[in-house]
Amino acid sequence: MKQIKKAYLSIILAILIPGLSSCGDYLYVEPIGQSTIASFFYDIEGLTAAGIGMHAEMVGFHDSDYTKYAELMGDMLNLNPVYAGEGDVFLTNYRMLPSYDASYPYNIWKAGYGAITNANNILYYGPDLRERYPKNLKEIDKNLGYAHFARALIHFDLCNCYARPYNYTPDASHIGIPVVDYIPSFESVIKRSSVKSVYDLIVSDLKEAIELLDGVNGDIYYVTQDAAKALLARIYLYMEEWDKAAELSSELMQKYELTPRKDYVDMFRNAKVVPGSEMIFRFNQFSKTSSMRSFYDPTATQDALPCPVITTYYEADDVRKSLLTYIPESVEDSVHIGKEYSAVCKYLPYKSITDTEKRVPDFPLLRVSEQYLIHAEAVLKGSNADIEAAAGDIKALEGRARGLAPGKITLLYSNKEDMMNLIERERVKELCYEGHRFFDLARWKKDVVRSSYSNAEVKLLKYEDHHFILPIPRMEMQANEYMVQNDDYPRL
Amino acid sequence: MRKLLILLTIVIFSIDSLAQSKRTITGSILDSEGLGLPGAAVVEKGTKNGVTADVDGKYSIEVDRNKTVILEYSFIGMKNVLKQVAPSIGVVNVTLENDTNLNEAVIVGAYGLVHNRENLTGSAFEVKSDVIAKLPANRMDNLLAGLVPGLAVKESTTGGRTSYKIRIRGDGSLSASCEPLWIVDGVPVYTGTRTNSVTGTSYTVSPLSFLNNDDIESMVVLRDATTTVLYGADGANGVILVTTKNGSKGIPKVSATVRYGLSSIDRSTTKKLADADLWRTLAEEAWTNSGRPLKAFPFQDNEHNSYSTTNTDWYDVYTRTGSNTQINVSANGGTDRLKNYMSLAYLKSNSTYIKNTQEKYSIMEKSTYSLTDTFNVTAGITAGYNHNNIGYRTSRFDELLPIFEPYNADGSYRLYNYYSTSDTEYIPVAKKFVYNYIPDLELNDNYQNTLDARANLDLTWKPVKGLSLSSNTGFDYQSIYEATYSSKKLSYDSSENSGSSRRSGVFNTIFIENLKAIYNRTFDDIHHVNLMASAEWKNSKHPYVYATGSGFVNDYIKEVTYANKETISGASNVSQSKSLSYIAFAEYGYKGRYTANISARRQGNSAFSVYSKWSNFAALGFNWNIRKEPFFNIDAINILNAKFSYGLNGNSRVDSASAYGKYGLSSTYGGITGATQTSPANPDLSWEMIRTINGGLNIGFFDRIEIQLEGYERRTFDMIYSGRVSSVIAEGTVPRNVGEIANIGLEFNIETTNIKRNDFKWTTQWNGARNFNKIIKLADGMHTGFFDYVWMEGASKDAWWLVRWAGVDPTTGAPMWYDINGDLTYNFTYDNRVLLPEYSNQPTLKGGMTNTFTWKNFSLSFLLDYTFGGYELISLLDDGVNALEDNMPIESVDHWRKPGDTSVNPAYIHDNPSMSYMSSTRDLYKMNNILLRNLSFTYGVPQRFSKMLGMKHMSLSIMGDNLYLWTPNQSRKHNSYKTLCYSEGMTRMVYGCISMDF
Repeated sequence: MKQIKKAYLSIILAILIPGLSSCGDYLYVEPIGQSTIASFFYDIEGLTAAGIGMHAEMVGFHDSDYTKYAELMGDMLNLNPVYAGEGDVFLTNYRMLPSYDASYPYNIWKAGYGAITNANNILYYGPDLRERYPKNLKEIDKNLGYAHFARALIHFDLCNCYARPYNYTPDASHIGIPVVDYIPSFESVIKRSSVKSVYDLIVSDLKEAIELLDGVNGDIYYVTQDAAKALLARIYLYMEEWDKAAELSSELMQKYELTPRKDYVDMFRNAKVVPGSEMIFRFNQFSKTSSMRSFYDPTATQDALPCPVITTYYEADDVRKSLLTYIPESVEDSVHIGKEYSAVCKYLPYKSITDTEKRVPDFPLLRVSEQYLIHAEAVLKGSNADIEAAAGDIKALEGRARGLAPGKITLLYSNKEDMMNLIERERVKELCYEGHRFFDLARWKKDVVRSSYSNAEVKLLKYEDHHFILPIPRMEMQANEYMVQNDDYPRL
Repeated sequence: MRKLLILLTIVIFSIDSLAQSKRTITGSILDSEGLGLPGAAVVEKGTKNGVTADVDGKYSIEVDRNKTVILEYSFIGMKNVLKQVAPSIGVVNVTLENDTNLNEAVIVGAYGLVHNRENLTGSAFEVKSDVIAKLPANRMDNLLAGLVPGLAVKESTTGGRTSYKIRIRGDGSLSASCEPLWIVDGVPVYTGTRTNSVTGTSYTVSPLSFLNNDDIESMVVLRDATTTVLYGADGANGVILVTTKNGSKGIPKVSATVRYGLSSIDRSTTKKLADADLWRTLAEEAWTNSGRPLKAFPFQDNEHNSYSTTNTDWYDVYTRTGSNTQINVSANGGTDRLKNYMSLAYLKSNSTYIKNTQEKYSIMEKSTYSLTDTFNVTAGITAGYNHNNIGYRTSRFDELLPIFEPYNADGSYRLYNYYSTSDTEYIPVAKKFVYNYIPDLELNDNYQNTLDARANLDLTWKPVKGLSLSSNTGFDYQSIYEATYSSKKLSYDSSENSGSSRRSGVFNTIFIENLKAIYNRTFDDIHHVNLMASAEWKNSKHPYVYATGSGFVNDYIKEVTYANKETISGASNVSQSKSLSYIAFAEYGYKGRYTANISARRQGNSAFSVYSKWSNFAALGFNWNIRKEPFFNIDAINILNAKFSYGLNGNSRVDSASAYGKYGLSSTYGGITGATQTSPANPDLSWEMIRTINGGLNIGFFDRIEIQLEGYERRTFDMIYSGRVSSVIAEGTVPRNVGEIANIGLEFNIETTNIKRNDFKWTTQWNGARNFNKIIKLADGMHTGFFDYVWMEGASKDAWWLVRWAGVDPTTGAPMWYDINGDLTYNFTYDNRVLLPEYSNQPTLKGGMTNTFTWKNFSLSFLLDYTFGGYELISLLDDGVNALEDNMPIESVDHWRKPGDTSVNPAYIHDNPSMSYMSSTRDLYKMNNILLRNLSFTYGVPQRFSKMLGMKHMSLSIMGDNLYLWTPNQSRKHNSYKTLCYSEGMTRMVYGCISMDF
């Protein structure tokens, strides 16, 4: 009898002991697919993945509402009444309100600060890795450089949308956007800073990036030192730091050749084969969908198309004009073939590219062509007011586009204003639909004047109008008592 | 060794007694239906002389020839009967009654703790198998509706599948799950995620439909803190304990039950919509009222569509007469050493919604083996194989236009309708008929094969009297194979659909190991001690895999392997959580008068961050059994006790790994996987804490009436509430422990034996509950994320928040509302929404009533389920806005036509911009209703007949489910809550049932 009892006791103990002995780590479960922020950044692999993710965030931000905003607000786009979204119609006709939760005010805001958060995580956790991974300093610095670049870029973009341009007040002391160069907690007070403070962060971030990315060999799909310089040149242009802008742009103009005329269209429409010699930084959209592409694709639900006025800007032999007409390829279906469509083709890869993963637009963010235009404007407005140097830059772009030697190009101008008009026209011709137009008008303090070709209900937006900048979204106003609404908008 | 000695003593003693002069008493031991009770015991009181009855319930016992003896008759589950038998009497027939006297019964609650009902400190409500047997419902989650006070079952049907939302004492949370915990034989059942959906499958079939109801012995619903705290954070919303049947000692008994039933949609409960003629009249009126010419009316007969001759009732298309077949065979028997219960069941159910079927094969085996007198092993296996066909289609199919039809004249599927889309001219064009789900339903596959199995092994050792040490090991395993296939033939043009297939597997496992020691003893009938200490490990794992592909050669090859290689993709994922708990319970009772207990659980959960990984929950309970007081001497009152309990519990059903903030490998760049932040660090996030206070009074009169009253307050503190922070910090909402919500309620349960005379008996069980739900605190005072309802401090959860309807302007027919200041306005804007305390979203009283009549071999029982008070929002009228898109309710006829009309509905205009279709107080309906949920009529075939058929016992029943729904304003001529409360109509079922015991 006793032995039997012992047997039972041992059965129960046999179950009990292993159970109790493993108590300590019993509750530990390895998270799968995602991990906590701190543990994620513990390894160099985590930082590298975050650097990749940072690029994904930037492309997500640009291949979306931000770039559309710059065009919809401007004077070179017509909406397709059949497919255009309600938000697009509201925006084009300057009827946007803070309460339009599903549209531009909130979408750009949350996507922008989401990207900034990712940059701040890298910048907060990344430096700690230097100690643990002394052999990987270069890799660490590279990723920190990415984050500085991204933080600068997105702050610049957001400031363009929600605040008046840098030159709105002489010392840029007017209200900007919240400067977020730290990881905010739920208790943080988030307030808008002056535009000056925003640009201070942008400039310091870009200088930091230039330093960190020194000697890093990157391809055009990743942030490089040159990309940081190119962006900084653009920033200086906005800040009207003419000489600094001219200096940086001329450095890049020497380093990068303009894409030849024969490759020009393919640089946009067959990006994976012809990345373009002038490309300083373009996003890699391999295997990703593109919302710019679907926004403009005339064979699908084309939301918007070029305002016909733009075609009057170009000479007949200008290769850039061919990016405004879609001629269906032989692979196109019978409904479309044999027709012609007015369409923005900058984001429309050839349908004959059989590998669908490579049939992507690879959004161009920084091209040396833009540096020519920055240079032209900077030298024109700079201390020397060098009209001829500016003319040289324009001729270079025109010559490339028309397959002529720059010397063969004649420009008609007699003074600085004429030259500025030529630069403006050239910016439209070269950079149209790449997210520049409306912000150019803003920094030039010009009204938006839409031509008779425009199908928008509203043909004029005065520079003073409050719709020149977006309202702070209602969602933000509700959740953040410290947030200040832009002038003349309802608070919520 | 000792055992053997005892046995020998008995034998010797028996031989010894034989020597004296004996007489034999014979007779039958019968149940209340007059059927023999095989294995029933007869013992001569005060001796060890005893026998058991034979298969027919006949017994024969020898007793002293000259003495008057007292015989005690007993049978499991029945009340013992004592008979004094004088020497002259030789035949004694005894009828034993079911032991339903609640007064004496014990209740087996959390973790097998046995409580005397009269001394219960907490709130536990038991439903026994005899009640369950009368309910033909083929799903476990639907069984308790109307039976348990404070338990509400809300039915909803979407896309042809019915699901049930169960609430015990109201919603205790805004974002965490409010569903109760289901435990079957000590093993928790996986019931899906927070929203009851099963991760990994495209369509959810409730795991609670996989069990076999016939195997259920009892269900106990735990509602207060002392009982639920023992289950810790998982039990915060109440616990439903399901105990399956056990083997019992005796001659093997084989029982078979065959049920067959038919079901149909009760058309008196479906929305009353226009037929084709009425629709045309109304649509044409709406069309012309909008200023469009009648000649441009879009729906005119053409070569493809004959609108004028079509009149489709979409219910005829999408629903049918359903059928249900259930066959259940079980065997039960055993010896002192080994007892067995096994069952085999088959169920085939064809839903009233076409293409929805369930087929279920269940087996169960449970054996209890007594290795010695003190050591028992119970092993149980339940397994069910389910094949479910899911006929998914659009909800609100009934609102398709009656002038459309699912097939073309040649019998092919109608993919296009031809009608005009111009406002000025009639120019018919082909438009895709995307809401025609008939081809989808007929051509596509959508099924799930599920193996749902549960195994448990319990070892119990009782080394000394009162002490039991046990180990309970259990698994719950669900493997779901889901296959969906979308046919090639569904394409409108060839490029669009090349056949697409999805195959997925979900493998949910819950492992649980519980070690416990219970010491339950009463000393000298004065001191009662009930102690428990336990440790529990639980590990839940939910992996799934799936593969998809499209581009098939034909519709016969549906496997992903043969899809176009470029389209094949797949994924897998797993979630796992572990918890470790230490559980303690201590109860002391004095003379059966005063009982006090304490329950506690310390629980660690892997899902929580270091800041809140461990949590402690505890509760106290008291019971005062007044009847046992020496001063109490009212004979009429046979039960009188009061109870009180207080405790703190937590709710773990939140995803709180976000405490650290998360990075996810969610983005790719250039084909390389990158990581971005998926949620910000939220270090303060913790469990929701729930404080429950419960008080109760039980009183019973004359052994005939028992009244149970309970009141409670369940208050959730630190309620997790997803509030907005600046989007600069985090996009969207983030969960924070900031809210507070309370449920305060009263419940009653009255059980009476109204008439008990000779062969006739009438009993009633009537229960009801009133729950007040109130949000006490929110982070920002109000949540504005909803259209029609709101979370607001001081209001109930989801309180109606609507613009007030002010009727129709008699001169213009324009709709009018009240603005926020109470002034009339012609413009609809959400800014005019107000909280409407007079239109509560909660019923005033909800409950059920069961009446049971037995007369000789007949038994009739019916269950009424009632709801009084409260309002529900149901959108019905659109005043012609979508007159050309959707069919309309018949009261659309009643609208403003000319100045001076005082009509309830505005002018009827297609595409009108008045926004009168937006939700307003016009769309509120009072929830008052009484439902005849269940009726069962049973006839026990007299034994002399059943014997001829070779059976010991046979009974025939007719049962019905959802037989009649009554609401106050119901009418054949217009819609009312009756026609609107079930989105797709109420399914009525009628069953025939034969039960046989061999």
